[in-house]
Amino acid sequence: MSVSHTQEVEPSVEDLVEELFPKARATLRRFGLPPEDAEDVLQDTFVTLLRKKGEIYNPEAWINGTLRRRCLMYWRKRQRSLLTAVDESILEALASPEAPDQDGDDLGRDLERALCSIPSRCRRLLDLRYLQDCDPQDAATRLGYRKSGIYKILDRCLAALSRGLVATGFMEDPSCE
Amino acid sequence: MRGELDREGARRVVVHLLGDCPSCRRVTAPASPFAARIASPEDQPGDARRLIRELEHGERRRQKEEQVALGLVAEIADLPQARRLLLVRNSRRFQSPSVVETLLADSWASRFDDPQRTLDLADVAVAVSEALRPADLPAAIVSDLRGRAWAARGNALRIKSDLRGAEASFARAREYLDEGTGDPLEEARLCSFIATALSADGRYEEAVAVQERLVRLHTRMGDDSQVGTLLVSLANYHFRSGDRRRAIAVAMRAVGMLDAESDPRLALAVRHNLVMYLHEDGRFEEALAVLAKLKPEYAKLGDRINLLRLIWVEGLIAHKLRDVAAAEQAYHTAGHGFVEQEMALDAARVALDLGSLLLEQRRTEGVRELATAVETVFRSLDIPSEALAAWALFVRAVEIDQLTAALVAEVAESLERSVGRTSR
Repeated sequence: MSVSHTQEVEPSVEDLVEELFPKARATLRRFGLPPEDAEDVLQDTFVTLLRKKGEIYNPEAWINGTLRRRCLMYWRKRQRSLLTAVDESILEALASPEAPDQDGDDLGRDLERALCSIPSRCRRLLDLRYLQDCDPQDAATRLGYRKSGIYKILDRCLAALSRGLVATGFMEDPSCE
Repeated sequence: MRGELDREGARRVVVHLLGDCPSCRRVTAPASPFAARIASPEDQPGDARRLIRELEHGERRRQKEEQVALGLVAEIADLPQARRLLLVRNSRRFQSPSVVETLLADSWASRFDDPQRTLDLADVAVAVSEALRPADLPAAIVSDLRGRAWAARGNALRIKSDLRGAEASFARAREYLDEGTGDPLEEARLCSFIATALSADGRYEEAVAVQERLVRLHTRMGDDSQVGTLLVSLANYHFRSGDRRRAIAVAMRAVGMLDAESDPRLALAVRHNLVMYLHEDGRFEEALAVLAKLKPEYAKLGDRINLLRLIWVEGLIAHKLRDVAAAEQAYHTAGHGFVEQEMALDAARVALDLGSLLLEQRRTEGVRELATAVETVFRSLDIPSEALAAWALFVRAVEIDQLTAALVAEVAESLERSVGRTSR
């Protein structure tokens, strides 16, 4: 039985799931959500579909669109919490009077070296933030960015820095082996 | 990387990584959310059978809840607003998703007749949605409901001309939807309200951007007829933002998508708008070609008022093309028609256009007769005082032979302003 808005007989829950489940699952796999989170997302989506089936013109297109948006939101949220952790950690480390494993000068130098690995406009922004104690709004003014857009740019630059922090390619250091 | 460390722990990790430890980097890189994640065949979310059981159970519960919700909303329908809010915040029986949905439906139904009730019910829906607990529904679906309630509140505020309040409510709605299910219908609903509010605020370029997003959302949902309807508004926003070319292009696209049989009025409206856009863009011949096909359709539909508006535009085009006889005929027909319909302001605006034409022809006696005739009409109809004052200025200028094109434009502007105020 094909699910569409033109059907006169309303499809049962079973019909809807059997029709739409395989493609929905394939969409989730494409976005690589962890299985336990993917279960929740799948269930939420079908619950919403059932609550709103009178409003949905094309259930298959709606499910694909909803899952796609939900997966993107999921990964953006995960990324944002990681970036927040990185940002806060660097700020705290720089502010801390005695770092347990490094002194302040070493940390500053290490940060400068890490900043060298990222695009220059990000380098300028993060340099202002970490090494010149500039808040995002001031940094926006100094760099000529719109204040309303600075947090998005900051996120992108933090992402670049974070990628740089986990990338390979430096000299061997036996300290952790 | 999984977010399990405390702040001190996170700080140590980041500092350590800043110190270039390649061993740690080799270990952490695959787990990074930045690394591409290829799902393995074992990552198979969901079991269809279990999902069906859970959904069927949920559906049975929801249907019962809907029936109860109708009664609960009826119970508070005639109470004072303060009492409604007190009840829903303190009484658990009101705190269900179906009550939110029923309140929102009732709020929506009131939007033309009773703006205050529209806002009051939206406020109650917000209060109920904020009181929902995690056990009621999955968190993402509760977020959607809250987003929807705040969006409805924003729209209700827009209807009451509180555009700043509307903007704040839309911002709250956005925060909730960002934590929601990703349902494009909720996103589309919010975008639709925002675009309307931006247009009401004269922020047409921003309205264009939001409306374009709305069109994309519905296109992805495969809803072509809705896309056609949205394009009509998009064309209007382009036009009001000064981009006549885009307005014309989008209106033409809308004409192609709308089904004249299922919605003849909308199909006519978009072509009517297209005539206006073409006229304003100086493409008079094309405007006349579209107009010629529209007139009989309006007549068939019995839509006298829009037919008069079209005839008026016909007059404006003929005026620009210097076809004096055709312009005069059209202005007379439209003007008399508006008077018959007791649409005094529209009659005055047509009279001004006719006055301009006669002025250009140096037919000052004709202008005097026109001024007197319109003044007589104004005295018999209820028109705003600003419009009366503007017309009195026009009459005085005619009497002392001081009528100029600039004065005609000034009077036209005054009339436009008073039309704008009466339209809200």
